[in-house]
Amino acid sequence: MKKIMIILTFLFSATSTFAQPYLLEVHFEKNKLEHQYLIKKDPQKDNKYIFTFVNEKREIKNKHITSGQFEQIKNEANRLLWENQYRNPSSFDKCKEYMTLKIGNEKTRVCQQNINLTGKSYGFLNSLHNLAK
Amino acid sequence: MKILKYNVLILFCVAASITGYSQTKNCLLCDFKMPSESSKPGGADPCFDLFEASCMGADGKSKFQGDPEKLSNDMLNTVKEARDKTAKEMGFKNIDDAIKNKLKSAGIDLRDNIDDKAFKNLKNEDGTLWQTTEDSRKIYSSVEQCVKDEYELMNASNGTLDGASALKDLIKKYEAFNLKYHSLTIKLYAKDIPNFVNNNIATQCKQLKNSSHSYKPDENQKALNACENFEKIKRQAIELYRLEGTADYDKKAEEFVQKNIPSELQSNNTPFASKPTKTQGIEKTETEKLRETIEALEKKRLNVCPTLSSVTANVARKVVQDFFEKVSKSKTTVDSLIEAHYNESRKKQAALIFNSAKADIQDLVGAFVKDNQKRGDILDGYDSLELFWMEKPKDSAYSTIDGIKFLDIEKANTKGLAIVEAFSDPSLSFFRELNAFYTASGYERVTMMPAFLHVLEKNPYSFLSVVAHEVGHKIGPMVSKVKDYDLGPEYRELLNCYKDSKSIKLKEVQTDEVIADYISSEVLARQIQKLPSEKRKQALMSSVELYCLFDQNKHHLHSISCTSIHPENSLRVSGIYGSNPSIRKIMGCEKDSPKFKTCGLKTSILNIPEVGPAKSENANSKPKTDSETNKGVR
Ligand SMILES: [Zn+2]
Repeated sequence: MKKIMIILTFLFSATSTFAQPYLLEVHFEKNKLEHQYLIKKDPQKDNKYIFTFVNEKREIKNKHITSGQFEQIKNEANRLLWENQYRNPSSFDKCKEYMTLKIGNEKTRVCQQNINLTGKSYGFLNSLHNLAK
Repeated sequence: MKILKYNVLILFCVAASITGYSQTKNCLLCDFKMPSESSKPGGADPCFDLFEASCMGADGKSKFQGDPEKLSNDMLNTVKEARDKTAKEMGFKNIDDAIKNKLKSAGIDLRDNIDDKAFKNLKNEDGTLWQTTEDSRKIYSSVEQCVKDEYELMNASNGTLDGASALKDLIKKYEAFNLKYHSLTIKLYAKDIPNFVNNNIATQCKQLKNSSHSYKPDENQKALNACENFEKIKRQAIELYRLEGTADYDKKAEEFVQKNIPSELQSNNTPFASKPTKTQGIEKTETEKLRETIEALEKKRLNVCPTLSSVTANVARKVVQDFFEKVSKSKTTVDSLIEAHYNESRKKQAALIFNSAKADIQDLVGAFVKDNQKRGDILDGYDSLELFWMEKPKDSAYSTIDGIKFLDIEKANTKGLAIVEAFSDPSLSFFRELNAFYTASGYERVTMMPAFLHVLEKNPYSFLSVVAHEVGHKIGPMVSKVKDYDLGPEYRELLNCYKDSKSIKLKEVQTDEVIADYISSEVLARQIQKLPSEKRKQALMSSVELYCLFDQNKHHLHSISCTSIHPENSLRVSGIYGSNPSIRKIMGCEKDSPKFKTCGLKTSILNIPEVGPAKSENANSKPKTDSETNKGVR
């Protein structure tokens, strides 16, 4: 038990390394799985963005995406953010985090209890995961 | 304190909680048909290289080319059939017809000769969302028209333009073009208020703030006012957003966009924004002024079609997603998908295999876990481990809207939550992915996603190896530790063996997966040894076939799984299964594998004769007892 808690702590502290310059951050956590998808502008290339996937073992994979792809991902993320933030029927006691979305300064936590939205987010996460391949 | 929750989520899983299996000791595999591929000559002898033998043909090519795509298509087709049924119930010809109608209502017309690939992408049928925005031109008629109009406009502006009246005509053409597409764009912005606020107002404010020196306040008054009132505007947008779906929402949303759409920022280097009307003290001629106006309009024109294209693509995506979400939750879709995948014969067979794997693992535990307390806890724990099996929700879980029944979260009971989640996903990924997992906490269970139930029919051997892997996670290093029957010490020597450079060079992160594979290989050994000797090699090759079926890096069937924590398929098959001493023994292979070091728990190697394995006629003879099976431990 103790060792597991230590592992988790280590994972969380590792997360903060990536907190700064991203335009979009998606953090997904369910069960043992913890995935992160991050997007930032490539300062070297016009119209190119860097898409980063951090897997459950903190291994990092980067790839370029186009501005069009970035726009679509951001728009879909923003719709989920608004739905969670402004259309949620009620708050959940002891929110167990399922997904955290951060777009610019706005941030939202989707709770595991919010099954309607976790189901909806699943397809979104799947697409991100496919994009990471 | 953070609640520790974790399911070991792996590539493969199966589960069904069904009545106790009482024939554990009988021959499970004897009645299973072998898939045809396993009888094809392989690239190597299974004793030498199990992966080459199972996955590669004698010609050096994969035996399974095209199979992952076929499975993917089969899964998608079942989803399409379910959606078609619901679309018909809603009064459309089929799901594509329904989508076209929904898009039309949102002000988006599809081209007559629609690009099939782009349309599939819009429907998320190719597994990759977010291709290029160029796709917009291939499917939306307004975007196609915009590009045509733009072309004509450019032709007109390139012609000979003598005199003020020709220039004025051109200005009119520009203005008509801009107006036409501006109105269209506003209508589309109104369909997605969150992104209108985010992409238009917020982005412009950020731009103004970050490079304030580039924009003169008196020339950008409207934008500055909007930024000052941003919070107020956003609150109005949220109120509006909460009304989406109500009667006069569309009208209100369009009014909101019309009122708040930012005008283009005038930067210090924007041409004509602050250009003098005189050149070197001489008043400009009318023609000069007209040409300047055209230049400014031309600059504006550059953004018109690209903006329309991206806004159309975004709204179309939203319309399709919203509609799919609705369709996913309809009773017709739910029932259709559950009927297609979770039938009685599959349930019976899945349960048989699941319970058999459980019993074999309990048997294995009896052999290698010497501590009475630990052993007791594990054996008891396995008794309550369930295989997830999706059942149709009761009628009371639905609400009726416009005569059609939709799953209602409020009404669905807690046991049904996994179902609600699966059907809340517009893409219905649960019914399209090849994945399986073991859940350690909450409802402890093994879940084999529908694609695996599909595999079950074609190849029950592979199903067994995957189920055994998932069931095996329960006694893996991590889960055993969390569940207070730490088996770390019991696995130490085995893991050291796998770390060896002559074995698979196990990485620390792969520990749990490798142990689950090993446990699966022990289950296979226990079942395959009950087969007549001449059938064993083919049975083993059939059992590991699943690892041939998909490319770990390429195929898009399994998605949110942990590929990085599994060794390469060839290492899993040849280095774990093919190098398990029990397996080698029952196959009549030499004790040591020529390619990989043999690794196994010493206390669990099956005690069967090394030469002259069981004969056909003995296949169904009385099986050995536990003590017989486990004695002769080295
Ligand atoms: Zn696993």
